Amino acid sequence: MATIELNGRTYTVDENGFLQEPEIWNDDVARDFATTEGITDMTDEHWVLVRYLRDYYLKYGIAPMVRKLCKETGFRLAQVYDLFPSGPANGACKVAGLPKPTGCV
Amino acid sequence: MTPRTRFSDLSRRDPERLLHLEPADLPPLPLDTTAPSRPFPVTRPIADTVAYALDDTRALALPNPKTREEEDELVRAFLSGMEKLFSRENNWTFLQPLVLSMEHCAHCQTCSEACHVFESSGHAELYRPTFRSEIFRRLYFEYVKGGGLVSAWQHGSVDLDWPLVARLAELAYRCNLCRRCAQTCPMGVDNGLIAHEIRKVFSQEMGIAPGELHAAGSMLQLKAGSSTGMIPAAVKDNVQFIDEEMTEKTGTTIETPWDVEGADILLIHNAGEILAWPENPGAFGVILNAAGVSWTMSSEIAGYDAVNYGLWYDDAQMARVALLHVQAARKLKVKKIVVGECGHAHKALLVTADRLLAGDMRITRESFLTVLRDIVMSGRLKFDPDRNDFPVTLHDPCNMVRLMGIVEPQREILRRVCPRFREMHPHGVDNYCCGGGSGFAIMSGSGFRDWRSQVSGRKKLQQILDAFSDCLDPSIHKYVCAPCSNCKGQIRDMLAYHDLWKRHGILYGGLVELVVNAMEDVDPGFIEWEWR
Amino acid sequence: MSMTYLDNAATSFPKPEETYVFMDQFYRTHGVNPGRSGYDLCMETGQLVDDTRKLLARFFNGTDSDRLIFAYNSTDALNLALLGMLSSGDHAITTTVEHNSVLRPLYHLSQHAGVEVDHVPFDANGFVDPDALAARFKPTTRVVAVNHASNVIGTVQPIAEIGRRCREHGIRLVVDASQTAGKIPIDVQAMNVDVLAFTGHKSLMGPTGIGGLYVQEGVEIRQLRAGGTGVRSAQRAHLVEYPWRLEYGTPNVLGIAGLNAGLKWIEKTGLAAIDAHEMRLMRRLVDGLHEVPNVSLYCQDSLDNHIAVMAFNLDGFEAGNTGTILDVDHNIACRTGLHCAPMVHEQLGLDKIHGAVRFGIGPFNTDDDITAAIGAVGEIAAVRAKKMTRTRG
Repeated sequence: MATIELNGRTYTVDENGFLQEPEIWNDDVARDFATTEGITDMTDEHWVLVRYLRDYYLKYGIAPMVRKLCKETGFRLAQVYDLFPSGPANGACKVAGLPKPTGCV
Repeated sequence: MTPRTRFSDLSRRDPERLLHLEPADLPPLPLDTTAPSRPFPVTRPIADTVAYALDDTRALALPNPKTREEEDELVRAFLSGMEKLFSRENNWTFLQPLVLSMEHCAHCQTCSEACHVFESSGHAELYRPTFRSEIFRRLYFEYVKGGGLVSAWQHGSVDLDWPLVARLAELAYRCNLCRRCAQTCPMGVDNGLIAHEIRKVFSQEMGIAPGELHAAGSMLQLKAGSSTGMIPAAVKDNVQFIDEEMTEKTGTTIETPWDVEGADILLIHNAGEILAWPENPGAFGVILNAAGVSWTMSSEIAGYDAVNYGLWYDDAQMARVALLHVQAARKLKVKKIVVGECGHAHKALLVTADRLLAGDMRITRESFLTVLRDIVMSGRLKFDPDRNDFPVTLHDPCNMVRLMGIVEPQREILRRVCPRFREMHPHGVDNYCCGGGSGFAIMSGSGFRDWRSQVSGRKKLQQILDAFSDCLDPSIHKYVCAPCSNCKGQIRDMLAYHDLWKRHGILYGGLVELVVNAMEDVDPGFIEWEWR
Repeated sequence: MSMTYLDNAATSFPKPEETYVFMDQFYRTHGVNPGRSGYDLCMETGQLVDDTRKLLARFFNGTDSDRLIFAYNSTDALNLALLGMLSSGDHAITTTVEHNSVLRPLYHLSQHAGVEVDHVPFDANGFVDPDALAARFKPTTRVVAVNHASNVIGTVQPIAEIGRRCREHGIRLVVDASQTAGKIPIDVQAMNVDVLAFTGHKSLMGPTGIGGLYVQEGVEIRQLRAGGTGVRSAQRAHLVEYPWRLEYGTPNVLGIAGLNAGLKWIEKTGLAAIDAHEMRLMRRLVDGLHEVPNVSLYCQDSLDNHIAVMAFNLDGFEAGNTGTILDVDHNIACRTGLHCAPMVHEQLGLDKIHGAVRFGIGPFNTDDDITAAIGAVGEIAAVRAKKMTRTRG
């Protein structure tokens, strides 16, 4: 377990930088974690992805399939990488406060 | 490179790592050296203070004893675990081959020459298969077999202290359990088994195992139904999505049957496929439906996730999950379980669990490879192999091929549907591990991804590049067929590490996708040539 | 009252527990004739002999373990060497600080084999001057034989420098390491030693009955004995190759096992730690005895280049009597007399009072032992003083 300081606030994260305190997540937390992706300004497109991920996670307890994320939000995977350079799992999910994916993925 | 590691180095109490590798220490790769590649080792420091560091990475979060008494307590626990390991009651799974491996090593080092980790590290002594085994062997002779000074003279001895125990735990996670060493050994000594049994002592006696394998792995599977965390509702939702996608993509109607009582086959996938490579379970659906097979999936806990991480580190966990798989099958009264594209799931359920499944638990379990071969060669499906007019090579997953002897069926299939199939060298039962075996493919923290991409996977990467040496131009799309989830994940990570999709047009995927891609009754273009 | 053992210069006592246990366990399970046959026990016992050769060769920084040969003790080893290296017409140089294990063979050669022998005296501090020794070199000088450290006054001789001089003149240096092997580092390469003789039962922590030689490459030693070697038995002549060249018949397997265990104990404990322990106790002992009136110490002014062996006398007592009182009244074990090194005592003028009392400190001696020794000598001195005053009065 480690801590990271973003925009002056301290968060408990795992070794890969994923938030370990899911209950504290909110839009400000998302903005803070977005800085680790080099995102200084969250656009509407960023939020579409983050909202979808967040809703899916609250319903199913894990992140959605990448393809489903793309289809349901209307983005091509390349665009997702554009918005979140580390990709849907390591980038977008991290900003949305989801835990790191487990298992053979 | 650091000087040759000695057994006594494992007892060192200074914070220096015993082994540090630089790119220059490793055997060269047949890659264009002017192209940029990631620096190795990882430049980000290992998180958490590691009291007794082994090398450039870390698999375990070990306890951190503050006093000598605390250390002694841990060492006692380790010895207690070792004692149990060598009793029939506690080691009903592997006692005999373990004892034979303890007693009959001739120290000839033939095994070392067969080991890809040892070779790819530039022959780092720490990674020599017998280095780890010999430490354990000396502890065995001294503490399990009664020891004494004559025994110490005959077998050698190592000083037993917490730093040694801690480093031994970590060292057990630098072996892929691929068994190339055991296959080569003239005595039949199995260094991979020894590494496995060491892991077992730490997990079953001391609760020490990588988080990805245990807490977020087998425990999560027992609780939520899958090591991915997918609860039954989630997996059904995801598979429904896949069915819709496949229907759209293939022009045929795909609907996955759930919980159908009396079906012939219960198909269990590695659930990670559903999340990361949906076209794989999708392809299964296409093939089974087109072939008119009576099949179903199960939404019982673990009934939809074939993984069994316990195979790698903990017999109790392995048994628990295997029983859940069989229970799901018995509930549905299917004729047999078929395991999808997952190597370790094959070995766990089809071979290792054999001793566990007595009486009416003894349900037929089969590999998808033979089922698929029968379908493909039966003539039930029509193929246009020209749709697969691109170079294909085959990675042989250790668990299915070397360790279960399933060698030809997949080749019959490939020869039927892939006109430009070429073998790697060596292949079949002489294959090299992808470097992701025994759980490494899903372990990434503290530089582990870098380590497995650069060291344990190096041989496989060499093989892939050699297999495609005549067509490395990036404009030629090439396919590494790896019919195993973890192998795919490891190969994906290695290809990404060296940017080989962009540099040389190398893609990877399973076997069923190639079959569907060649099916005449399916819309063309099933395999999409973009990075995933 | 338990015994205070201060006669480690004679033999080390006790041995480490491992030495006793390994000798017993090994001899029970492997007590067969090594290397003579093909059955497992024989091969394994032979392996122990080989392992011990390698351990010793490495211990002395020899390059070839085949040239580490086993004998029955230092004296046996020195006899093998000296009688095999000197012939009629040769000149040998030795010193007055030697033990009879060097003096007597050379005497024998001078009386019966036409070898000329010179004895270089030691200086006031107990050391031999390499210049003085080299000044005796002649065209016929073949061998210089020096002990590494004296078994009486404990002074460590400048072997490396003596060896350097010998090398310049093609003279072979034979060193008797009986007192130093296991106390201080010995490096036959750095010290320019051609032949090193050692024994197992002193600081190497083995039993009696085992010792040997390390013979550098190129050094010729004539064979004066012959016997069974276990290999090539059909050959009529004894083998010329090492190690069989200088070994005859069944070796002392029990002794080799004990020596093996002793060496491992030394490596585990650390030579530096042993030396530091012994010299710390030596410092206390010497300082303590200095405070006792009427005690004469010999060559103990500085403890630089010393091992923990020292000689002394109580004025007015014959050494033998001092020793007897130490034994009877105080249960302190030590050695008195000429210590098989007569020339040391002659040069110090002690032969007329029949020698000196010797204390030899070992790794198992404690501060209490030193306190007891100082106290005992002090008590004897006090009794004597009282007696003296009474007789005067």
